[in-house]
Amino acid sequence: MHWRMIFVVLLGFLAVFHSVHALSPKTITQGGGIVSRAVKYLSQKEVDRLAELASQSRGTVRIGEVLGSQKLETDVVEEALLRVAIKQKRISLNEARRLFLALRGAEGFPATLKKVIGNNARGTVGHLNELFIARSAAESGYKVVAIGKKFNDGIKRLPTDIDILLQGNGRQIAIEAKAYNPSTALPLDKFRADMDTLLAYQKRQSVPVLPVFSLTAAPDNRSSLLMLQKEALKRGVQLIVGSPQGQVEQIRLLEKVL
Amino acid sequence: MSLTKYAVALLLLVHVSGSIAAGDPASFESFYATDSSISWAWVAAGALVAGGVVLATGGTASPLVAGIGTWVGNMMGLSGIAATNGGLALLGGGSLAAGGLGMAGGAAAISFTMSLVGGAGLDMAVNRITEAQQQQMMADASARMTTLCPPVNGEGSDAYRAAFEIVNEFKICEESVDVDAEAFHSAVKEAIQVLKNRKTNEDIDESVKEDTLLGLLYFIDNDYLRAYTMATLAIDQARSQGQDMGLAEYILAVSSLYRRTPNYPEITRKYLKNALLEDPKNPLMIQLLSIYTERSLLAVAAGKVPLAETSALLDVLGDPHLKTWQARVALILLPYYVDTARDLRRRLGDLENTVNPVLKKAPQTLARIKELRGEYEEILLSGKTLIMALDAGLDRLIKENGFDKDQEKGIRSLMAEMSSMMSETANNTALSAWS
Repeated sequence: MHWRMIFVVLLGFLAVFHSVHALSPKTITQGGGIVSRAVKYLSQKEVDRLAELASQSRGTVRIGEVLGSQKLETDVVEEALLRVAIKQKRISLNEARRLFLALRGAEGFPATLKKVIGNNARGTVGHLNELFIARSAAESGYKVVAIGKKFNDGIKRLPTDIDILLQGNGRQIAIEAKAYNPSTALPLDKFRADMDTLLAYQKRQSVPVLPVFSLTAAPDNRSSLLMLQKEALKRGVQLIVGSPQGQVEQIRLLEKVL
Repeated sequence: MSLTKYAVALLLLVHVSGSIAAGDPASFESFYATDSSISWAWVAAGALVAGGVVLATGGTASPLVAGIGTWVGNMMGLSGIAATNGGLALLGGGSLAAGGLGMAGGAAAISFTMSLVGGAGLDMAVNRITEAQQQQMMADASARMTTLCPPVNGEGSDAYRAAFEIVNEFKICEESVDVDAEAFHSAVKEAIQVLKNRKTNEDIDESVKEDTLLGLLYFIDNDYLRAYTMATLAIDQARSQGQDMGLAEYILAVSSLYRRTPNYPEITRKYLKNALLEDPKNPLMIQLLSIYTERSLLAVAAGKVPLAETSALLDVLGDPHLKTWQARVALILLPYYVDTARDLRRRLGDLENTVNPVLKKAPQTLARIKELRGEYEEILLSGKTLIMALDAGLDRLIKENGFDKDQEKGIRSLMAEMSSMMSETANNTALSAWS
C-alpha cells in the first residue's frame, strides 16, 4: 500500500512539474518552421518582482521603467503584464490566454494592461471591461484598431480617450464602455460628456464612425437608464447594455441595420 | 463425438479468420503489431503517449501561451506538454503499464475541466474568418497536437519496407527520450517521396498497405487532405476484398474534419465507429479517442462543425463494446458545452432585453434572436446525451481518476448548471414576447 502512495505522489508531482516547467525562465524558439525567432520571455521570478512593484505607489510607472529599460518586444511586455495580472488574481489563466491571443499587438493593449494591474481597484474593473469587450470583438472577427485611443475632443480640459476602436464593415466603431455596479448612481454629467467626445471623434474622421455608448450592467435605477437613453437618442449615439459578448452581438446588428 | 468435431471446426475457423484479420493490410494490427510467431503482439501501446509529446513540442511559444498551436490544449487550462495531452490525460485513467497516465492523467484532466468553469469559451464566431485562415488555423494547431505513431510493423512490399525503415530509425514512439522533431519530419517527407515514386503493385493486399501507409505518413506530416485521399483509396480496395480496414477508416475520419464542409455525424457514426469497433480492446484506444476528440474540438473552433454535433461521438461510444469510454469523453466535452451554452444564453438575453430603440424595431434583431435560440436549444438537446453519459459513468470515473471531493463537486456543479439551463429553456417566454 505504501509504495502505491509514493507512486501516486510521484505522478502527481510529475503533472505539477509539467505545468510549472512551462512557466520556468528560458529562451524558447518560437515557430516550428524553417525560420525561427528566439524570444526571451520573462522568468517567473521577474514577473513576481513586477507584481510586487505593482502593489506599491506609482508601481505601474516603475513597471513601465523596468520593462522599458530591457527593450523588450511588445508581445513579451504584454505577456509579462498578463502574468502579473494572473499573479494578482485579477484575471484567470484562461482569461489571460484568450486576451493574449485576441489582442496581442493591438494599439493600447499594453497601456491598458498596466492600468489593470495598478492599485486602483475601480480602474481595474473598468479597464478589464474594455479588454473583455475588445477581446469579444476580436474573436467575432473585428479588427481592434485601438484600446484607450488618445483623443483631444476640444471640450474636456485634458486630452481624453476613446475606450475601444474597432474596424467594422466599411466604418469604424467608437465605443465608450462603462462597467458600473447596478446599485451605483450613474454620473449622468460625465456620461453626457463622454457621448459628446464620441461625437467629436466622429466629426473629425474621414471615414464613417458608429458611436456606441455601452453599459456592462443595467442600473437598478430605471429612471437613470431612461435619462441616459434620452441623451443618447438626442445625440445619435447608440446605447447598448449587456455582457461583452452581448455588446458585440448588438454592435454587429447595428452595423447591419444602420 | 460429433459435438467435439464441431468444436474443433469452430476453433479452426476462429483461428483462421483471426489470422486473416490480423493481417488485413489496412487494419490497426497490420501496422501497430508485430508477429511474435505465436500470436500478434501489440508493441506500440503506451509508447504513443511519449511519441505524442515529442511531436507536440516541436515548437513552443511563450510561457503563458504555447502559441496558437495548442489552442485546444490551452482551452483545457493546461500549459505546454500537459495542455497538448489534456484530452489524452483524461482518457488515460488507469495504470501507466496499461498505456494510461495514471493519477497524473486524472490530475491534468480535472485541472482542465475545472479551469473552464471560469469561462474559457469557444470562439463562437471564428467562422467569420476566411476559408484560407480557417485552414491555416487548423493546420497550425494540429502541428502541435498528439498524433498517430508511424508503424512498428515492417512487413510489406519493398516500397513499404523502404518507407518504413526511414521513419522507423527514429523509434519515435518507443522511447521517451527527446527526438529531433525537425529531423523526424524530414524523414517522414522522405518516406512519403519513396511511396509516391513506387511502381504500381499488382498485389492488392500490398497495394492497400502501401496506400494506408502513405495516408498515415501524410497524416503525421499534417497534410490531411492528401491523407484523406490515400485513406479513401485504401478503403475502396480493402472493401472489395471484404477486409478489416480500421486504420484507413480512422485516418479518413480524422482527416475528413479538415475538409471544407465535413459531415461530422456521418463521419463519426460510420468511419470512426467502424475503426473503433474493429477491435474494441485495441490498445491504441486512448490515443485514437484523444486525437479524434481534440481534432473534433478544433473543427468546432474553426467553425466547421457545430459543437452540438459532437454528441455523435458520444452516440458512437454508447455502443456496448465502447461504453467504457463514453463518460470519459463526455467529461472532456462537458465544459465546452456548458461554456458555449452560457455564452449563447448571455448573447440571447442581452439581445432579447436590448434597450437600444433601433434594435428593438429592427426585424433583423428578431431573426438573430431566433437563430441564437436555435443554436442554444441544439446545444442543450445534445447536452442531454452528455449528461446521461456522465450520470451513468461519473462515479466510476471519479474512483478511477482519484478525484477529490472538491473536484467531484466542481464536475457535478457543471452538470447541474447544464441541467438547469435545460429546464429553464422550457419555461422561457422571452422569445414569445418578441414574436
